[in-house]
Order: sequence, then structure tokens, then C-alpha cells
Amino acid sequence: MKTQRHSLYMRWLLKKINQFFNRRGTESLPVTFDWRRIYVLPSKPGLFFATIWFLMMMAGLNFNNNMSLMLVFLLFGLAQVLLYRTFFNLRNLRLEQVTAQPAFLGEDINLKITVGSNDQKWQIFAVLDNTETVSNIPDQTAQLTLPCPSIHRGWQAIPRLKFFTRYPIGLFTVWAYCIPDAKALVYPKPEIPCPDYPHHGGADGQQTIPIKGDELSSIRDYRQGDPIRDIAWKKSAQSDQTWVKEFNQVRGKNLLFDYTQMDHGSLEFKLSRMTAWVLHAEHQQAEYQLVLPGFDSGMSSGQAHQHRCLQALALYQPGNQS
Amino acid sequence: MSRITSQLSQKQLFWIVFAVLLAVLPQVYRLPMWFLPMTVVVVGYRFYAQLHQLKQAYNRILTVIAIAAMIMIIYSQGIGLSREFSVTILITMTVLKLLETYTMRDALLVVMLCYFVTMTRFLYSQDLLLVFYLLGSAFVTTHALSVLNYEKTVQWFDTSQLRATAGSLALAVPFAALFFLVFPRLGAPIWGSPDIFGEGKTGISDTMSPGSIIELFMDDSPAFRATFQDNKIPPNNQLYWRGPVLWNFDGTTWSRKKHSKTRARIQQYSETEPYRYQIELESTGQNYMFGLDYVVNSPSGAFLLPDSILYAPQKINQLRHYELESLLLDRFYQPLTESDRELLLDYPANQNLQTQQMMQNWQQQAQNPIEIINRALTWFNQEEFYYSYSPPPLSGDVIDQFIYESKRGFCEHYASSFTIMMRMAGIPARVVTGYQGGINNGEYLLVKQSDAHAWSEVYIEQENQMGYWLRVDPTSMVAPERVERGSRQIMDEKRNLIDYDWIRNFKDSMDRYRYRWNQWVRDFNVSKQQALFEILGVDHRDGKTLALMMAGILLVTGILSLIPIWWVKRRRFHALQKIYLDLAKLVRKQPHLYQTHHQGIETFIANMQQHYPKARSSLNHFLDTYLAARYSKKGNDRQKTLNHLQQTLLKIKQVIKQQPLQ
Repeated sequence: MKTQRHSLYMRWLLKKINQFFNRRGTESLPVTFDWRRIYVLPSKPGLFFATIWFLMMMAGLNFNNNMSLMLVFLLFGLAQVLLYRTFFNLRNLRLEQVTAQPAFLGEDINLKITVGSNDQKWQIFAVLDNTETVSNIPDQTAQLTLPCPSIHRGWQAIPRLKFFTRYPIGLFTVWAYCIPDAKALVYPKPEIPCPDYPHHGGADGQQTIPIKGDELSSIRDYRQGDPIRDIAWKKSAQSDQTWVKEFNQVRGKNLLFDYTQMDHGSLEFKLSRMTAWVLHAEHQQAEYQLVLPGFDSGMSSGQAHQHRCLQALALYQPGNQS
Repeated sequence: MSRITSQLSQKQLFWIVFAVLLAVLPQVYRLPMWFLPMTVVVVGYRFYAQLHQLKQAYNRILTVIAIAAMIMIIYSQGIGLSREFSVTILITMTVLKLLETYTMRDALLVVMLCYFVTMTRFLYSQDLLLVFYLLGSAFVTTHALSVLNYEKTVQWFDTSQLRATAGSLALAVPFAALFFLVFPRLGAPIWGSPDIFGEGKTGISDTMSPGSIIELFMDDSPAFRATFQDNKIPPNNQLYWRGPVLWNFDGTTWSRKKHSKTRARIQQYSETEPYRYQIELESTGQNYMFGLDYVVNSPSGAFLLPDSILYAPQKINQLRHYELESLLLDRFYQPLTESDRELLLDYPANQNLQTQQMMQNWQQQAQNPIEIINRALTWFNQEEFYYSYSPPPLSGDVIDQFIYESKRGFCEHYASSFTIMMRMAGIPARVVTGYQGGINNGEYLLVKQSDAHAWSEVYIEQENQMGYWLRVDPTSMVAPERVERGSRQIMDEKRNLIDYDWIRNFKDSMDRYRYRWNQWVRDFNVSKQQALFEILGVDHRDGKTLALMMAGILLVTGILSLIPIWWVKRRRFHALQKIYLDLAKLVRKQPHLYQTHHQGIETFIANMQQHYPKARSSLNHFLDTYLAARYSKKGNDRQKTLNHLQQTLLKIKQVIKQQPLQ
């Protein structure tokens, strides 16, 4: 992390500054950025402009060259007008909505940010950490999408968003911060590759014997431990890679994933494995049932069912055990 | 940041190149010959590279090109810390920088340098017409920055963005004007002298060789302007503006004599009133200042040499003002030393023998010098002499050739021949160069380079080494209208393709604006600013007052430029929003209910329905119509929908009025 390289004093200062920026805490949307919460500083090109401008002014003043001074003052006036223009380009921007699609841990959460304004706004950047995205608001509202890294399983708060603009010339950066009152659901990270289904049963709670399906379902590349007889020799001979035939592996129609019947591994490992099963089962359009302490999904399939299961996995806390 | 290293689009490149070319081209006339071809090649290559997506050339190659350019500059202009050298380097490097302008960072650098390049043009001239260059270049450069920052559309000339840039610049103008007037100026330069950054342009020089004046005839630019006190302007044939006086003649070229003394002020002048006037002298790159014959005393900052020339110790590289008094004397009494007398009688002995012979005859026949002078003038008048701007070239015995063969020439030939003829006849004489005449432009007299003139001065000796100078203008014998009405009257042939009367008249009347421009802008300095401050009631020019004034001006101009932008960008509600706000205002007296209108129309209407169950259906209708109008993509009749909403609002209002407050 970058902050660790700073000295103690700098860290303290940065903390204080961030405390100041975040003084409003989380805010419920919509939020309108009025002048009280807009910050203005010259951008890097702006600083360069200022340097050149200063040199020009010194030359003009020294030789009392009046036309040079006219140009110098014109540029100064221009900078001032541009300052206002940039400021007004951000002022009264409305942050209307921030929605997040559920994501798996380790993947980026896709934030959909709706901004609105009564007048036309151009080149509005939304920034989150190091990623930024830009949009215009030609008419009322506009949508921005930003990836947000997922940090932990469960409900994750959306971090502070920054909106900035340099329109029209780019000499000034005008920005505002907002921590929206929005959350993103982060599912556990599915185990890859998907492990075999558990031996603890189908619908009846009986153990099913692993059956290899007869139907060839797909061909994938070779992984360590694949039986030799599954290798697709013909295809492998045609290419550089080794290919393995994969057979449909539905072991019984009804699958039961029960947390309590998994005996080894940590909590996160078990959740990760169960997530992978759920995804795989849904992919194979099998019926499945997820049982967690305090949660039973019932035997079903479909998108809604999957979401219910994944959400339960995401929000599962061992303390909930009853 | 990725933005800084991002590649340029074609449109961006076009605007960068446009800005660079516009900034650079007005200086091409004084840059080395190879500059323009180099620019064309660089720009051509850069566009070619952009179209074919060639990568940037290796740094080593670019370095070699830069060094080659440096050598070329040194070769053409010589090395040194002069203005020409430094400005040429700046301009050349700006153009060459285009070769490595592939990313945003370099592009920003080049474009901002354009502002600086534009400024260097004003070190050479601050003419009124350059205002258009200033504004044009500032506009294009700013627009290039704007395009670099953000492209609204892919169109190369995007009207809305162009208009935005123009608007920003226009709003900056009043600010610039105010700041120009009150920003504290320096009384004296901190380093260097403004003269090294002067606006060098040559007028009359201190030598006269064949053809040196003819260049000036072609030049209609102003030499100086004279403002007479009470607008008393002498008649045209008295307007002899004295410049360098030439003593030495080597057969072809006239040159001046070096002096070690100065002339005293004219003490007694009871018979005539002196003319008082102020001269605004354009930069000449020479030391001479001009005044009407004969100047009473030297102005401050200049010497008055014995031959009545005004001589400034430093070269005049900037607009210069000085006040003069002149007496229009026919005879100027001055003693003449023996050595000076010898100098004034000198001529190349072995040349122009024919003329020498004639002059010796005349000398023997005449009683006094005046008779010889008159005879010479009559001779010029009666013989077939013509005034011509394109005389045949002369060589060898130039005087003989001119007098007996070509008989065509202008003031230079006549003054030169006449002076030598006088010397041959034993009359001390010299050539005076300067300007003759001027155009009355209302409040001032405009003297142009094309008014350049040369005439003779002869010394009439009296007893006791005393005598007087007498001005003789042989040109007036050949072409009297030159002296009576000015140089323009005798120009029959066109000097160039666009040399028409109406263009000249237009130029002369344009000079009136130039004069104002010089007065108010070009020559604005500490003392004028001081006068302005005094009018404003600020007497002291100490740091504190100035700082306060600056702060005040910043505040005022800040607010002035803020107001229009704020007005354009003020919060506006469109018609639908207004109706919604009207609906909310119905329940303004119930703060709890009223506050909820911020949460969106659905919540608000649901809350209202709780309070006013009777209005439930109308409210529902309002909500449906509103949402349909606002969010449906169908382009239904807006005005009709608005009217409908208005009616529904009225119904709700009635219901609310009937129901007492809870």
C-alpha cells in the first residue's frame, strides 16, 4: 500500500484530511453537490499554465511591453472564467442512485451510478480508488458504471465515491466526495475447479454412488489427476494441448449440500466449496438443496433459488447456529 | 495518470498544429529562410505519421535534428544572448517539438508554449493590427487546450465547443482591461533594458548612397507624429523635419561628421513666435530624433549637435515622446570654423570635371554667392530636369552623368548634385536629410517614411568669420508640388500593385486609431498609471495601497465575471418540475408533509393521500400523468400534458381547501 511509505506525521495528516472529507458520514441518496462540498484546486496542466503565465508576466512587466501584458492579463481573466466554468459544471450535480450487482469475492462489484442534473454537464468523472469512468449529462440523468473491488463476504459498504470534472479546458480540477448509503452483496468465492459433489446424499439422505455419466458433455484441457482413459487422444494429437473428455456427471437428480455434514476445513473453505456446488448444480440444471445452520433452502432450482442459496452463504455467520 | 500518456486523436493534432502555426507565422518574415520549409516538412510528416500510425521517431534522431537546427540558427543569426537568437530558438524548438508530440503531456506543453511564442511577437512590434493576432492566437490556443481536455464531438469544428471557448475569452476581456490599467507597473526594468527588446525598424540612416532613400518612398508606415500646441501647424512648404546632416562626400556616398560639442540654445528670437509641439517618434533603431528647422533647444534625453541635429545617446528602439520648440528661420546665424569650412568645400578633385568647369565659370561671372545659388536653381528649373522615382542607374562621374545626361532623379540626386556644385563654386554647403511635409490627421500631423526628403544647406559668409545658413531645396525647382503639397502629389507611377489613392487614404485615416492606440495602450507606463490613480483618488503608490487596490480589483472583476456564468448556470426547473413544486407548495403549512416532497413524487403523493383521502383519485391521476410525461419515451404532446396536470392540480387544491388542517 502506498500509505505505508509515508512518515508518521504524513499519515496523521492524511488521516485528519480524510476525516474532514468524510465528515458527513454515509448519506442517503439522492445527494446534491452544492458549493459547500465542492473542492477546487489547479490541475497539473493548470500548474504548468501558471508557470508559463508567470514567466510571461515577468517579461511583460520588466520591459513594460503593453501588448504582452494585455495577453498576460487576458490569460489571467481566462483562467478565472475557466475556474468558474469548471466549478459550475459540477455544482448541483445530483447523485441519485448507486446500485450494485452481487459479485463473488475476489471479483469486482459492478456499481451502477445514476447521476442527474437540471442543466447540461460535461465530462463528469466518477472515481473509486484507481479506476475512473466518465460521462456527460446532456439531459436530466446519466448512468456510470464503476468496478469496485470486493473485500469481504456478506454485505459490503460502498466506499467513498469521488466525482470530479476538468471541463472545459482542464486547468482546474473540481471535485466532491460522497459516501453513499448503499451496500453490495458479496458471495463467497467459489472453489475452482469445482470439487466433486458430496457423498452425503441426495433427496433421501442416502449416499449416492458416483456414477460416471455416459453422455459426453464437453471437452476441457487436462488437469492433474485425470484418468488416462478420459483423454481425448484424437483431438490432443491435432493440437499442442492435451484434451480430456468430460462426461455428464449428474449423480442422482437431487443434490443436498449440508454444512453440518462437511467435516474438515475452515468455515470459509466450506462456504467456498458449497458455493461452487451451488453454481455447478444450477449450471447443470439439477435440483439442489442447501442446508446451513438456521437456513434450509428447500429442494429447487432456478435463478431465484440460486440467489437465495448464495445470499445465505454470503451472510452466514457461525454465531447464527441454533 | 493514464490521461497524461494517452495518444492524440487526429482532431487534437489538427488543433495543436493550428495553434502552433498561428503563433509562429507572424514572425516568419524575420526568421531564417529555411524556417518555413522546415515547418512545412515537420507538419507534413507529423500528419503523415498520424494517418499511417507511425511510431515516434527514435530519440537519437530527434536529438540530431534539434542539434542540426541549432547549428542552422547559429549559422544564420550568430550566437549571442540577443533577442533574435533567443526568440528564434524558442520558435524553432516549438515547431520541432511537434515531431515528438504523441501524448497528452507533450501536447499540453506545446500548446501552452504557443502562448509564450505569441507574446514574443510583441517584442518586435506593438502595432494596432496585432490585436487581431493576439485575440486570434489566444482563441485558437485556448481551443486547442479545450480539445485536448475534452472532445465534445468528433467534428473538427464543433460549433458548440468553439462558442464555449469564445465565450470564456469574451468574459475575460473586461477583466484584462481593468487589470491592464491598475496592475502595478515597474518604473525601471529589473534586468536588461527595454531597448534590447526594442521594435527595430529603420528609417532614415546617417549615410546617403544612391538608392537609400528610394526604399523609404515605398514605405507608408508612420515615421513620427507631431501634435502642435493650439493646433497651429506651419504651412506645408515650411515643414522641413531635420534629420542627419551629411558633410562628407566620397564620390558616391554621403556621410556625417562626428562632433564633440553641442550647439547652444537659440537665445534671442523676438521677431517670430516659436512653434511648440510634441513628437511621437516610432522606433528607428537609430540615434536621430527629428525636429522642425530650427530647434530652439534640446529636449530632455538628447543632445543638440552643432549642425542642429537632435541626437539621443541610446538607439531609439521604442516609441518615444519629446517636446520641442522650433523657430522657422530663413537664416540661421552661426560661426563657422576654418576646419569646418574646408570640410564643406571638399569634393573629389578628379571626378565630374565637366561640372567643375561650369561651376568655375559661374564663380567668375557672379558677384556674390547668392547669385550663384540663384543661377543654379534657375538652371535646374529651366533645363529639362524631371522628377522621377525610377531614374537610370549612375556610376563613375555621377554628378556629370546626372546633370548632362540622365536629368532624371528625385530629391537625393538634386540635393547631392546641388551641394557639390556649390562646393565647386566655393560656397560651403552640406546635405540635410529628413522628412518634408506631413498629413494633417485632425489633431496631429502624420509624417510617414515615404515623406523622406533630402535638401541642401549653404553657408553665406559675412565678415568676421560670421555668417548664416540658408536652406536651399533644389527639388522644389524641379517639382514644386513636392514641397507645396507633399510627396504623394508627385507620384504618377504606382509604387506597387495595390498602390491606389483610396488605399493610401484609408491607411492614413487608420493611423488615427493607431495614434489613439499608441496613446492609451502602447505607451501606457508608470507615469500614466500614476495619473490614473490620482484621478481615482489614490495618491500614494506604496505597497500597501497597491496591494489593497489589487485585492479590490480582483474582487470586483471576480464578481463581474461570476455573475454571467452564474446566471447561465443558475438552478432552473423545467415545466414538469415546476408543477410538482406547485403541488408541494399546497401543503407548505404542514412542514412534516412538505418535507417529504424531497423524497420523490411517489412517497410524497402516498403521504398526501394519507392526509387527504378525498383527493386520492386526483392524486393518483396526477402521479400517473406525471410519471408518464417524465419517463416515457413516447413523444406525446407536452403542452397538452402540462395543461392536464394543471387542471388536476386545481382539483386537488379545491379538495385541500375544503378540508381543514389536521
